[in-house]
Amino acid sequence: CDDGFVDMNTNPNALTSPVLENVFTYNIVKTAGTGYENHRANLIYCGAIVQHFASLNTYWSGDKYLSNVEYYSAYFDTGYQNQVKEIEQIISLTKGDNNLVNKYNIARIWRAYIYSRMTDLYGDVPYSQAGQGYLNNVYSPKYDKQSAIYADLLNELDQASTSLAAGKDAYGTADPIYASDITKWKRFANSLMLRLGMRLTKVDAASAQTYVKKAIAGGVMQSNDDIAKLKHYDTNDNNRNLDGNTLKTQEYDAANLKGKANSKLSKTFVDFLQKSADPRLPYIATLWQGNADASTFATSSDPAVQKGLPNGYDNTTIKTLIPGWNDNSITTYSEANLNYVASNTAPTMFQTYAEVEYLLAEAALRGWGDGQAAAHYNKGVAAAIDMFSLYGANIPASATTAYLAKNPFTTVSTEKQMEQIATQYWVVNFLNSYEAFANWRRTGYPVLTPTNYAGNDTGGTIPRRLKYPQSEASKNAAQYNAAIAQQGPDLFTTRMWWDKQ
Amino acid sequence: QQAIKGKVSDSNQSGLPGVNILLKGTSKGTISDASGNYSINATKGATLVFRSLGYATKEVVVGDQTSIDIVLETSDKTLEEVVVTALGVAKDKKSLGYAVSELKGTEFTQAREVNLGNALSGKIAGVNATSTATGPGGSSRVIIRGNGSLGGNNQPLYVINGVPIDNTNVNSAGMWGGFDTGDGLSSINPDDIESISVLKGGASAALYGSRAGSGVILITTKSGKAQKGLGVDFTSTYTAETPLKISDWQYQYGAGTRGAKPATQQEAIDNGVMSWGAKLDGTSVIQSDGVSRPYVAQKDNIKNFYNVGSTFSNTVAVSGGNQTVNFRFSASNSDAQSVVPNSTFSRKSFNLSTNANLSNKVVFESVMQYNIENGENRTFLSDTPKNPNFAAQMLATSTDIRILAPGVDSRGYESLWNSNVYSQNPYFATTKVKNTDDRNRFMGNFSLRYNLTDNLYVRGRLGTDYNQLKYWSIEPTGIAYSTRGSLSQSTRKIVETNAELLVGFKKDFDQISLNALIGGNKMLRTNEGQGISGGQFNVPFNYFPSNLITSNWNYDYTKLGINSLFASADLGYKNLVFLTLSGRQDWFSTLAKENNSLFYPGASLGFVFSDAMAERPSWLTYGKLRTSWAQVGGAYPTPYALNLTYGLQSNPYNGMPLMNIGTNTIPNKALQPNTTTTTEIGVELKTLNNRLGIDLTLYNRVTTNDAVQASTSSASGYQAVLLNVGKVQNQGIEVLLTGTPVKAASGFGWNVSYNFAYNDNKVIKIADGLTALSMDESRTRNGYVYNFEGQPFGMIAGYRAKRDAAGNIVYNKDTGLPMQGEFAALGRGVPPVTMGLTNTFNYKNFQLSFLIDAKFGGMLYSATNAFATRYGLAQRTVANDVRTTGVTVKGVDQNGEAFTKTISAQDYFSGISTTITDEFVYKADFAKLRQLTFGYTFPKSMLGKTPIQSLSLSFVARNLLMLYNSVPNVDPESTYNNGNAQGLEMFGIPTVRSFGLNLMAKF
Repeated sequence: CDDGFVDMNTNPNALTSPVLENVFTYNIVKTAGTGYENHRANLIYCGAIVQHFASLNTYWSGDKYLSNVEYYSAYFDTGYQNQVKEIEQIISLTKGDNNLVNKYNIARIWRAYIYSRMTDLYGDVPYSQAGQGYLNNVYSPKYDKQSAIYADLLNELDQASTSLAAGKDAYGTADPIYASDITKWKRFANSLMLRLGMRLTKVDAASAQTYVKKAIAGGVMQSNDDIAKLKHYDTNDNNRNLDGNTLKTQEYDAANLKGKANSKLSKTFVDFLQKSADPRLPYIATLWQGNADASTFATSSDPAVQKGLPNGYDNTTIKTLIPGWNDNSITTYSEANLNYVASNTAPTMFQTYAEVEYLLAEAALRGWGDGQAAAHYNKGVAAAIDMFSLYGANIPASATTAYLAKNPFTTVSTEKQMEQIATQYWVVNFLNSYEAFANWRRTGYPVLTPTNYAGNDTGGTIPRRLKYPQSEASKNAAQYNAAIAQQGPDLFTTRMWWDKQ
Repeated sequence: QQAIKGKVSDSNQSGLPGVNILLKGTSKGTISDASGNYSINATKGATLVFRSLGYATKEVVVGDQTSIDIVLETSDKTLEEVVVTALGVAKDKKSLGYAVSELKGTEFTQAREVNLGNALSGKIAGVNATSTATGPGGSSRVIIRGNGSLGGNNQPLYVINGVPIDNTNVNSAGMWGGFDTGDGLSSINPDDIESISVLKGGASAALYGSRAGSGVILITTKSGKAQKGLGVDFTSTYTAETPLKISDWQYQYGAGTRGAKPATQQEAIDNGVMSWGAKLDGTSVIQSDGVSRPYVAQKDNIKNFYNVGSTFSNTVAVSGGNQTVNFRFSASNSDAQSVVPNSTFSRKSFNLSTNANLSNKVVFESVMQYNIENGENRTFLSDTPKNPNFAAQMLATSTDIRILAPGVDSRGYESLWNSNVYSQNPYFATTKVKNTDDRNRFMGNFSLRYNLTDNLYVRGRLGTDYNQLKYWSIEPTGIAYSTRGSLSQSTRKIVETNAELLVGFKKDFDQISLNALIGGNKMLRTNEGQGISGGQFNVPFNYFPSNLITSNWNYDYTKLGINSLFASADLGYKNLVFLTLSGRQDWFSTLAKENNSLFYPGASLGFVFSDAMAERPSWLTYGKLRTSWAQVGGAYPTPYALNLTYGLQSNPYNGMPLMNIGTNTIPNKALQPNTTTTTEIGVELKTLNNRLGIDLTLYNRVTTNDAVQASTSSASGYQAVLLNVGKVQNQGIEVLLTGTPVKAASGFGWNVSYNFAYNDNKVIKIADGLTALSMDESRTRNGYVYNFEGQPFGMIAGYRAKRDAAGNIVYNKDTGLPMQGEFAALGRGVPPVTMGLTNTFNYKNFQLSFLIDAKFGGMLYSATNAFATRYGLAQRTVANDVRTTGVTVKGVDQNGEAFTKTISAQDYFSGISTTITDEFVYKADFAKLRQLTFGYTFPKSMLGKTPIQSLSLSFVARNLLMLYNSVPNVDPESTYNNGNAQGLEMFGIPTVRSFGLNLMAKF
């Protein structure tokens, strides 16, 4: 009496076994993010906390240190479901198969990247048991200590990069980052190891030194050709840059709002770029007219007219700060340039060569590198400016020379050098606010002035992490409560392991 | 064998058409013709049973005569009731060993609800019908004897004329908003209903198989009867609906923030929903449209925004027939205008019922219904995008909603009234945001019965429910959060067919009667959807798919089948003791081959002890005991849930396909069938010569091996997992009291019916290692519905303020706000106590009837109240002068140090509104004057020589009065969907009160 039921219960519109290449491409595209968490976590929280962005609007919780459960949860929810889920699947399907050694190890590198962003945002997070719902029937994963997560991520990067085998197949052209160039993957693994190793300077300098040295010895990125990035195309949301597109559609909507946008660039950020006469400024910032009509570039992106909005105000309180403020005043403040750095076709930068050079400069200062701090600083700046060609900007080499002449590597003190490097790191990570936020917490640079908006959730101090989703308190209660017991109250002000005071 | 002829008449000597004349103990019978004449072949000694609705059944033993004339007396004796039971078999209620409740069609035709489910509220003990705040043509939730399944469908199976129909609620509002396009029940035209039987327990339901575990509602539609000429029935109802303002906000402080009035247009927009401004003082203050107006309270926004709605229904039915063929055809049109502007629902339905005695041996029956339904601009609920109710209910106290009209600027773009672009201008939401849903539905069944002998027959039946749904919705150009707009267009086709073949045997042996059958059923259900959706109109204001800059298509298809074999036997002894045995074996396509089959039995026993007593006490008119035990098996209802699959995104990345894991639910190969076991015992007593009756039932219903879609931590990579060990118990008591306090010779009569049910529900087990199961979440992300092991089904859950060991509230020292305690259950989402009281008064040609409907013991998490507190609308935000003094908190800080702080009311109430759930969980007890009808039946003398045979006119009203409500500012019956997770409310359509007239005429 059940003839044909097995066939009937087989979904005719789905595949029972995956094409690994296609799953890998999906995983990379989703790690570049969707409009959801990019808006909420990358821009609204991290982007405003590090004062790249500012807003008079109260939904910009990061600008005012307000608590918005939707926004601080966003990365946790999508990260595990859009990123972790598939990468864990790829790893389980490639592990132990010698023919798939490169697929496996590239996946391990990417997995380390995914989890590093997660732990840097929240602290202790599910790691060893995460993404194992189907694979190992773990429905309520425990929260691993960040110290253990970091130890494992660094170890994974070490093992994966040394296990990559030149000459063996990887994902072919389905790898949108390096088209399966094994050498480049190795460099990226070591560059990421450099980033994560350096993250430990405050809490465990010895480990930091070990891994920074190991990364340098293994070989890091050598030029802008090595940048780990995802290219974008203005066709649909699986192809667009969804940070830029979110700004365009959700924030600026220039043709409609005509400059009365919901958010602007921060005064802290614009002031710094202006003061240092940064040639990137016109491509980063524009008045709304430039976003409405690219042909007005010359006037609307003129560095002299760019103006950043102070953080931590609303439409009422701004009047106490800026005399004569009226409803039209906001239109004179700069927006991110939707034709260049924030365009729908701007690549998503996972890690840039310029960042690597800045980290090498810091390693040199700490005596863990080659001692050539100034050279690395100069290379970093040159790369960071040259990289703008990837956004469609043509900044002549002479502009780099002029910039370095005006902003040479300081000789005042090691501390000032640290500040200078970290501040450049902050600039190059515009729109990669996850990384900018992490490095600011580690180094304390650039020095940001906290705001104290009425009703804020931190007592007027800059957040040190994002809070866990409320869904974890309910759906994963026991593990969530254990995480709080080990890390401290689930507050913006609780510091994570590597962010030692 | 002898041919017997005769005439059936009523006490006035007029011939009675359509009387069933049955040869007792067999399935043979005939029907009297238009003049009441009949003929039948019978053997000497056989018993003829004459049965007609509204008349006392009469039995006559055939002697030598060839002519038997019969007079049937009218009857109001319920003990002679015939009810329709499983497989469409009409049985004497007396012979049943389980509880069945029946309602006549007239219960639904006078004061009507567009959705039949809503109309069930308060009418039957143990049936908890809940209407939703969704507008006309929306869905309802009907639960019989509590929720038995943690995650499955807990609503009963609906069966029309013996054939199951689809009751899927395809679109509903959830946490992220949305609108409700109704369920399968919204297709039923009340005027076609002859009767509704509610089979509450498993014993009665076993023959319907797996989907009957939550009870069965059998709808029998009207059919033709042999009569002279054509009969024409005309029914017309018009009602007007007005929205009720239940909210009682503070009207001391106006728009603004931190005690200040808006000083610029931008500030007015920023504070569009903020009533944290200054004291209302009548001064001129700028508003969101840039115009300054007096700063005074606006209390009529509900009245000023919503319309008076209406429902206009007309049905014409013609019926006729002779001894061989009878038919009834009806055509009906119902138009409903919601109180929300531009939102309408219309339903046209055509119903043809035919039955034919093709020969002495062959009987053909068929009912076909065709529906055309159309919903326009169904109202978005819950979350704020496109939801007009948000502004209508949350607008700052000093803003007249009409200043937001027309909702568009000179370019046709949405005019902003609030800085949150996701909070729509209500006029934009009702005039520019569009959606349409069309349903074409055919429900039909054909059955052919062949009498092999007088005692043995075979019957084949084929039924189908073919549902074609078409949706179209747009976010127009200029909508604030996505100014280039978007569109989606989709179609869905849901088809269920049932083919059944059975062999029946019916014979009376001396003192024993036997009615047995054995048969099989094959069910197939397919659900196919496809659509296109996309964003950004190339040419603004033109809404069609090829004008989209980006688009996605989607296609989905599922198919499932259940094959069954079943048998049942009814045994009667001396018409006193009745035993029914049944069994069914099902095979489910949704389970793996090893586990896909289950046998489940049932038995029931009825004993009419009053008839068995040698000397019946004088007070006892009738007494019956009944008991039953039965199981119903079931299976996970969704196909393809056993294996992990991969899917492809419709847009590749730069030519590279994107493949992901296609499901968010972790599959489970080892799913088992579930079983619902019901035990019940009941007693029926009639006393004082039928003037007082009591019907009492106790039941215990346990569902085991329930397939549970359990929420997982998102860190598992998935949102849910399918597990298979759920166990839920429902125990309860149902009481029906009926009485006739007055039955005067003057013609004055007073009938009372009171029903009461208490259902105690307990989730005994969820799954190994899982003691809590998430069911739904409020858009506030702070209120939840959960199942917790050891607690009742569907608990409202969330957070209380954290307390230390000494009971002090723990505050965050940075903010002065209470910290959240651990996640906990806060109260039942489903009321355990339901009751209804109906009083009917008759005097001559007048009839007055009213129903009071009440529910107790449930709770409601009110997001509307949470937002009203956050925005400074709620009374508590001004109580004790907190706006000037602030709120002083006292307790300990997170480090355990003594802590006290005074913080502004705005910070305090905004803070707790999104963190401390139990501040907004209320008892949801209510009592409503649900229905009132006052009717007049015109006497025949007045109709005189007109072609009208009968005419009645009634004043009808629904939801007349809220007699008791324990929730502030909202109606406790305001949930925004009909899902398993009840107890969440947010920005639904206000409750409406309806008044109107109902006309019924017979030609």
